[in-house]
Amino acid sequence: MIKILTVCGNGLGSSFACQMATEAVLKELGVEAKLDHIDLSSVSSQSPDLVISGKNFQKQLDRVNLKCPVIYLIGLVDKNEIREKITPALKEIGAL
Amino acid sequence: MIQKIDAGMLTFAQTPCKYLDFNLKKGFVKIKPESRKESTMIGDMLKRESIQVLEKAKDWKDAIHLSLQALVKGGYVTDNYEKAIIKTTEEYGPYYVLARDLALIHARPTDGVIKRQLAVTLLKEPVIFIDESDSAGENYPVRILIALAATDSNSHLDTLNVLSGIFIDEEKIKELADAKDPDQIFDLLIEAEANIK
Repeated sequence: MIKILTVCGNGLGSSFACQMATEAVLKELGVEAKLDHIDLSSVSSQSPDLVISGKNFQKQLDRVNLKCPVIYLIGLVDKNEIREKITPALKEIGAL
Repeated sequence: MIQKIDAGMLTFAQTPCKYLDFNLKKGFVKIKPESRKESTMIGDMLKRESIQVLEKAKDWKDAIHLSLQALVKGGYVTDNYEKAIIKTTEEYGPYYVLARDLALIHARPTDGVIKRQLAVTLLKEPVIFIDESDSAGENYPVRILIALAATDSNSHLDTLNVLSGIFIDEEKIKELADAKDPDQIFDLLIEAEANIK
């Protein structure tokens, strides 16, 4: 099963809400995944298949040099935006 | 359906009708007020008097300040909490603006949370959160500010679970943003929790 991490500054509020929104979208798409939320500083110690974060964290995440696709959202709970951006990413990692 | 009526039922009767309907629909046989209390995260975390409807805020910093007033006054967070939120906003941008009209104002538990609690502020006139860390200067209009004080990364998850049920539903955000008074906001949140369970 693929592992998806949602990332924000605290790994507590925004990333959790984003996780919930992503879960809803994945359910619609019929994709099974293991989701978790985490803070920016801990993401480098993880090896997820996909990372979802806010556009404002792009500079910081670029520095982490993650080995998986990263999706940057304007609205962390915007299901339309998540669907639009996660679909090609899921195809890229072979989950869709 | 309810086997025993005692003094506790009075407390129960005072809760919003929606909750009662929900429980009856679910066919609960016996409802103890104390167990109901445990099960309503919103009821536990949010006081009616911590919900305010205001005309406007001067700017995003003022909006953050206003949204935290109830938590500071109630002794749930220290003065440092506001400073921490403003600092992270200046550093990372307003990532807690989760959708149009909606901000989940919070910092880390170690930034000055004393006890977990929520407060809700509705601004009739939206305030713009400018992402200063972003050269494009993205504008984020916000009317609903939900201030969260969480004591650790797990204890608040039930509450966030309920709130997220609202956050991911554009219609529900609109209902909240168009609410006329604190009572209506409180009832919408309690209702959202009942619908999730």
